[in-house]
Amino acid sequence: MTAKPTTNSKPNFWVITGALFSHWRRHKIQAITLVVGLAAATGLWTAVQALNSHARTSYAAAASAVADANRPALVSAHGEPLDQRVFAALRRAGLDVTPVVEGRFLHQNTLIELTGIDPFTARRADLSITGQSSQNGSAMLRFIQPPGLLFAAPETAVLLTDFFTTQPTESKPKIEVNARLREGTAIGDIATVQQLTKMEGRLTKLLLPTGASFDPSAIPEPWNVALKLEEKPQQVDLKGLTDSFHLNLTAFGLLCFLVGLFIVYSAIGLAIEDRLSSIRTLRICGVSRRRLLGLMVFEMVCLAVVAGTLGVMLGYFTASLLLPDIAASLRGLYGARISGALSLDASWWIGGIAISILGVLAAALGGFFRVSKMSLLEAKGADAWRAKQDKIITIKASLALIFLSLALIFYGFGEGLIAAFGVMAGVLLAAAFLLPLVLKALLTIGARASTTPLSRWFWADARQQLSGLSLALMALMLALGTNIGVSGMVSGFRGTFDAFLDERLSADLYLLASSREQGRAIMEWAKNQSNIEAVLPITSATSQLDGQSGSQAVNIVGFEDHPIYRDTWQFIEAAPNVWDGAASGDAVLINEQLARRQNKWVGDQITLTTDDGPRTFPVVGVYSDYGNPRIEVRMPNHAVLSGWPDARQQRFAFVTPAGAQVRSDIVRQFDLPGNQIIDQAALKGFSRGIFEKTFTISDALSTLTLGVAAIAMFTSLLALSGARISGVAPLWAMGVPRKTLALYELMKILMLSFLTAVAAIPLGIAITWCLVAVVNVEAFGWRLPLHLFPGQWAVVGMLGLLSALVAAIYPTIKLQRTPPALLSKVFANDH
Amino acid sequence: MTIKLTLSALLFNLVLTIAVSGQESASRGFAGLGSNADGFKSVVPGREIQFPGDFGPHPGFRIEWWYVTANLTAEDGQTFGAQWTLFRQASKPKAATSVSPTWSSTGFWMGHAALTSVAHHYSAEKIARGGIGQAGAKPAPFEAWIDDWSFTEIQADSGEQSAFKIKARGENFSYGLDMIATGPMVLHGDAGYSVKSDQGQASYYFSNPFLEVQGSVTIDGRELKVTGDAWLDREWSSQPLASDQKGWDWFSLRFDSGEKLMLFGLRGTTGEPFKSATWITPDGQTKKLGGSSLQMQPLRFARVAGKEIPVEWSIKIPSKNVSLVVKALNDDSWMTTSISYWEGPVLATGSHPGRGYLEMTGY
Repeated sequence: MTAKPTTNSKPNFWVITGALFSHWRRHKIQAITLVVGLAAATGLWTAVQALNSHARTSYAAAASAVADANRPALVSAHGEPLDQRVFAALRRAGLDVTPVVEGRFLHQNTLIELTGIDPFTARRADLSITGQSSQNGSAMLRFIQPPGLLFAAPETAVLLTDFFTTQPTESKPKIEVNARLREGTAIGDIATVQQLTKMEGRLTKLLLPTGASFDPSAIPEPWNVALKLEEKPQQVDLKGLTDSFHLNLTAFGLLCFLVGLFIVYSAIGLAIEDRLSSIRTLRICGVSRRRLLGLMVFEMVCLAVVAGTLGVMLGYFTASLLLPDIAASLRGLYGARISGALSLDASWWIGGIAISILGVLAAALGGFFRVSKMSLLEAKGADAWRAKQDKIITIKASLALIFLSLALIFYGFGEGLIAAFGVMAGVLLAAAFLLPLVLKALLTIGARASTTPLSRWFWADARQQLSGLSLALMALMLALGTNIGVSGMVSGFRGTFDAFLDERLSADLYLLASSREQGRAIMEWAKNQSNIEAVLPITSATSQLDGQSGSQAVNIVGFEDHPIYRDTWQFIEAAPNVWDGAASGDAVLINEQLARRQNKWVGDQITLTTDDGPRTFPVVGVYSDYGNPRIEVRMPNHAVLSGWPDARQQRFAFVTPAGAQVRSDIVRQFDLPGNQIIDQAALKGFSRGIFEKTFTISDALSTLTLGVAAIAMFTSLLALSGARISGVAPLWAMGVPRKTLALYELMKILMLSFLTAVAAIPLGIAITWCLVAVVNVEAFGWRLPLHLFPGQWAVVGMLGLLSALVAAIYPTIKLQRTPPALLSKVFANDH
Repeated sequence: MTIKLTLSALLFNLVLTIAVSGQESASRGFAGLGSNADGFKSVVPGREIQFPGDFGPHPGFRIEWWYVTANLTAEDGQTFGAQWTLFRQASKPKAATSVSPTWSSTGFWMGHAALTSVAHHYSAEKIARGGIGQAGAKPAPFEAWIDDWSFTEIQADSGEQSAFKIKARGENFSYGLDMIATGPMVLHGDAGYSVKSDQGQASYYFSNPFLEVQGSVTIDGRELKVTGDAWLDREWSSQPLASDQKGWDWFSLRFDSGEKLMLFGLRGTTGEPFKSATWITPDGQTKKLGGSSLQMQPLRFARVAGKEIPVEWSIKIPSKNVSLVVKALNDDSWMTTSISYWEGPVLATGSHPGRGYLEMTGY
């Protein structure tokens, strides 16, 4: 105590502040752990926020880029290339179309796709996403004037250079490397590509402006009959899945914050506990209660600012370490290169520090309350603390009940995402507050089972320590539960996604023919190819479904009864002999979205509007359809064609052991653009690669949460170590060596942590369940199956014990090295 | 999407190419009009201007333009200015032989359109290459176009007279104007041979300043019926500016008296601008006025697009007893096109009240 009050003057601001802060000077390790704990919690929160918002911004930019790939386009109604005069005709009619010519050739067994564009009519708005800044102005003229310029990806550029050097071609355009292009593609001016692909005077398609609704009647005669809107090949909609992932990351941010709050609460509560005597002294010296509280708030804010600043830096560092993975995922997803640099603007600082201050104040509230109610004559020490233990545990258990009821209310009556998060928060808090009661019960059982005095002391002492450690243990449980929950969700996600890709892309090649005629020609051709086992047409139509809320548009998709479907498709719900029922055409399969929105399941009936009027089908199977925003019905092709004779018949699935060979054969034979043939192996590998990267991020964050929990444990143990001396001193006096006592201490911590880890398993499962079955369903209308991974629980449990061990080592060693004089002093103080 | 990314890069190049030439215009002549014209046809005195042939394109020359500026009054009393311009520029002398029938043409077309009110100035731009029909011009029946912007000859109600229609649209504006010629074509300089510098740079240049206008404009979603008068310009050359000339101030004024004035001053890097004018009587008689008889003096500058632009001028022609103050209708008549410049309607007060257009480049 540095304050030296005189009788005439009350201590001034600096003296009291000095007195308060002197505690931290004397307990440097406590100060460091508090700041580090708070900084880690703030950092984790900031990191999740930064990653999420950066990813969102990037998604927005990238999504506008990807929109272009799916930009509406006009193509020939009859499948052949377009007469290029249509371009000028449409422009003169006021349609802002831009021409594209596509061609392809093989060189050294590699397919090179050439795309020709007209830079004058392409959109200028696109400039904003390129972020380019150092282009040579004369490049434009080189691009459009003979011999022209082709931009190509690095390897493709080498191939093209070789092609133009070795092959006798009419013109030899210059080649420039552009790393942002996909390998196997090159882009040039429309004139250059027309000449290289012998497409002079012809175009492949006309791109329409995005966003604007297109009115076919705006096309002038005679072109109106020659054109139609291009059909896009069906793609696995990755966006739905990534949205889901980001939502889960947000939920994860919430969990991090909760864990962080517990840590801060635990650390500060104990620090205040430790200082009650200093505070009492200050009060006795004449410092008013109000002034003291004000100064304590000031002290906490100072600490929070320091820790918050460190935390934001830590969070920024963490986020920037993880960002390359996010950037890589986005690049994989959209092909768009996003900025790999994270911007750290003022709002991050303010937000991070504000969270830190709010967290500290919320956490210190209990302590402040104690100080304000503190009697100047109150006895110090563990006795009073212990006397209150049972009451506190009861209060916590009641809080747990309240939170659990809130979770149930949200689950039963709430709707939407907020309610879903409410369920999760309720479950988490309930579990956390229930922990002391559960641990106390387990310790009581342990105590009853023990026979020797020392073991009985072991259990009883563990119970006594429970109140001091309970907050740290709650934090540990939340961290472990989060870990189990999130890794369960992620693993389930991964497994489901793999299975889904296998199921959806069960054939080896998928093809979209340019016209019905071309489709028939390809079918005929395929029959004579020995390396093609089967060609399965996929017809499709759009219809109306009569539902509870009137009529609703529904996609009808046809299938050919084939083992690849029977063997790979998995159902959420299916009637016995589902395939036999569906293959007859009298019953249908529906997707999960339809089932949930219309509440139609196996055994129910749905009514579809066919060309002959309404027809009712029984539902024999419900399949999962992740990422698809639309409702869908599947039935055999013959049933589709009988109900909707004009159904599109341009999509085909190929079963072949030689996918790549067949793909290039078809390209050569039918001059089909490469993007109309999807090679499932390549697509699967590509999609999995993206998700693996995305999962890395959540794994890393999970581990960091555990690290923060370890800090909390360390802080608590350290804060308790002073009080432990009086706890173990009687045993030492009775002849138990310090080494044995230290070992007992360590065992106690490990036992408590082990029990906490065991309790975290059901919590983890509950979190996984909340994420996949509540949050996801509310957000996207489909439910990920709940998978359990006991192996993971063991790993996470071990990690929990390991963090507890690391956290306990220093306090244990400290206890072991307690000088006998200090232990004897305990008895001196008793009198 | 790969297409899209590269598209963007290319567009960037295009804009940059034009922007670079625009920005450098102060030092090397507006849009490079002062650079060497070897390989293109030369502008020589004594060539007779022919109608309708010279309404069409002149592929042997490097640059030409079709220009209409109109001063309009709406039914509610608001005044507007409308501009419709089509430029053709060949980048290589090769184009001098013919306009290529394919995409790989060396001729480029650029359209500028603007609508100016007292409060707003909206401008738009279109760029296309020749040879595929997206942009072009032909003499009879006359038509010049780029996409759905067009300047076409139409059948006049009263037989003999020439009549035209112009239309264009951009963000926040569009217009469609019918124009009837109530007077003859007028040839500038020496029978259409218009000298632009002391070194002999010149262009072929004729106008019709006698156009009566009727039509409609749409501004910020509101359509208004308008009437007014307009001025048509045709000009072509291969090197209209001397290498040390950096821009011009060009006036076309129609006075209440029925007389008209075309006046320009070409600013060099040093010395006095090269000035020339054509005085047009109400019946279309012309008198060429030389530099020494013309006085052009900026009276007020306004900060527009980060530049100091003279938006109010004193014009004096003592030999014609002309003493005018010419003011912009809207100081902010800046064309935010890839080559940017000031162009907008003006009002003349003083000895000869009237209205017209002012174009200022190279600032």
